[in-house]
Amino acid sequence: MAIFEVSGGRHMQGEIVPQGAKNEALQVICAVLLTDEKVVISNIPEIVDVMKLIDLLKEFGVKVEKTGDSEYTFQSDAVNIDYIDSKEFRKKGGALRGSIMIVGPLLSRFGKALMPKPGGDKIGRRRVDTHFIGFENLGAKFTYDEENEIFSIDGKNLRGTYMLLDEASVTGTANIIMAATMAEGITTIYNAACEPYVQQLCKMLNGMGAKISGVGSNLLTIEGVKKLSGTHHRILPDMIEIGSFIGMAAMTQSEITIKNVSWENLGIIPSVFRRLGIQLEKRNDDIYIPAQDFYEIDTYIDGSILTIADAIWPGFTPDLLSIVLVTATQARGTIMIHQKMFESRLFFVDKLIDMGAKIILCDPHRATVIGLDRKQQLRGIQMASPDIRAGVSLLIAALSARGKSTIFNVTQIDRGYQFIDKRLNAIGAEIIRK
Amino acid sequence: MKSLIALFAFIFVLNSCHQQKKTTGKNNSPEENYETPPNFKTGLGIMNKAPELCFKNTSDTVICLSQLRGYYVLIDFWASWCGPCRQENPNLVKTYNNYHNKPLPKSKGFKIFSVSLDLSKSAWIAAIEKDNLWWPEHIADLKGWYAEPAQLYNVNSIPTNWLIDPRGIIVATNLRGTELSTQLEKIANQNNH
Repeated sequence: MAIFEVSGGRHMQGEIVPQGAKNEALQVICAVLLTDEKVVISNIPEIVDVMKLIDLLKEFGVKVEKTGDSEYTFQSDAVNIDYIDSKEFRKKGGALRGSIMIVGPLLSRFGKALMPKPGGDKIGRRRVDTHFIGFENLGAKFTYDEENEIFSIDGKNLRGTYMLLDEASVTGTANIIMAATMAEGITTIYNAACEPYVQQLCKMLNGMGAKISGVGSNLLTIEGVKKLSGTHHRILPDMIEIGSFIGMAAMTQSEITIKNVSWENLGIIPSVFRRLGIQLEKRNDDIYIPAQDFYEIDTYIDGSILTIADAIWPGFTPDLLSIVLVTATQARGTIMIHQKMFESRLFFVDKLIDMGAKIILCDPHRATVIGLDRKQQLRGIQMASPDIRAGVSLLIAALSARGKSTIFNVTQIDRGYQFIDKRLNAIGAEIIRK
Repeated sequence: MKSLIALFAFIFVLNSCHQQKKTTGKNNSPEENYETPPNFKTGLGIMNKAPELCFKNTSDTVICLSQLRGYYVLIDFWASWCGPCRQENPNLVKTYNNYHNKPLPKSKGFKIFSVSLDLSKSAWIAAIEKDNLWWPEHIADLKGWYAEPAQLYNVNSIPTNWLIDPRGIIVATNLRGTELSTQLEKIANQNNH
């Protein structure tokens, strides 16, 4: 298993281009199943989960061609729908959480699908009830195969309906939207997720001929159409990477320009990092972060300690909380990090404490960080990466630390960040992959 | 006293100017006031005022969307390298041929304002010629996906389009295939009421 050997304490300098957003890719790539025409998608991050999904589509008979630098052309004009009954599919699909996103398109276009028991991150439970209830509301019939732990779904007569989601799940919303695009009549989804990647999917589908209105709000109306056409779609830059680079720049006193960030789709992210005292400047569509000797955490107006908590979009994304946490360890001031949406994502702080950070883990959801204000550097240690986000947080900590760190289990980092070692080395980091 | 006379003179001139403006307004039919009413916000949704676009055309002259006030305008985002867009082009040409000379109610007619996300000027011009996109309004800043018009319209999928009315207000989006001509037919038929 690959490891990273990181020599800390380097200041980086230069430009870095964020990769395409993984979470968007996993949705829009599934949407190619909705039409028999060609769909071109560019800015696809070539990371494991995404490539696995593309392989899965290939096995369905989707023609896939790499037509450029991170650009792929898909055509689903000869899909073998019987593949979903095969053993291989069960094996493959079961290993990938992203595979749940093919259910909506399959039901919409072919009237049948299988839903394997989902896997994925080890960061608390991820429920898929929203997907189930959504499809059920549209008239899909579920049969559970206990032996294989798989649901087979019959969706021959999907009909538009009104539904109020029990939670504004991003993947659930996306899946239901895709199922509803070619259902008969009008579907209304209230309490829909409205984050940029769902908006991107909706805009792409509308470009293909779907009739979705209310895009960007939590009330979506989808008028079923008979057929969708091809399109050329570009995936947004990954806001999680952008946020990670901001935190990394501040921690390591680096001067970095993050290129083409699609500022209007970053929502509250830049202002949250500004509340940590980090200077960042919007330059055209780039973010410039100067090298900073110190950064001081804001307090509330009455002087009390700042809390950063995650929330459903347009709130602060849970995926960046661990980055905020690690960045705060070198800030001037104190902050409370409150992870409301997932449990057990904060357990990686033991490793930061081992490195010399001052953190009180209050419970599985909350941690208080007392910033070191660069009075002492973190120490390099050996550690394993438990999940994607914690992995990058540990990498940032290691980059800022004194001496060498070793990070085991970097496949967890590779799952979310493409060539992260090469890209950071290009601007002055020293990361050796072994 | 002198200043008082001057003031009166000034008010008189101002007043007559104002009246002149009014009368010219009256001479034309009231339908031909194509200014966007102030209560429409700029945006990308139906009933929003479409954001202004001023960019270079194929002969490097800056042209603006607002110059087409008075027409129904299809703002069409495309590129020579975009297969689905090229596939869609025959539909556009057909609709343009049918409608560019047809009167549409309360307007001067129909136009297409093509916005290309091309990187290469020669490829752009070659595609315009090859697909016979013979209307004059073509713009591109040759920055590909990072084109400023694409940022202004938050475009990440092409082809995509917006249909605006003679006052610059969005009436429909994403008209694909025959939807554009259906929409224009609807507009043309409003005349009969």
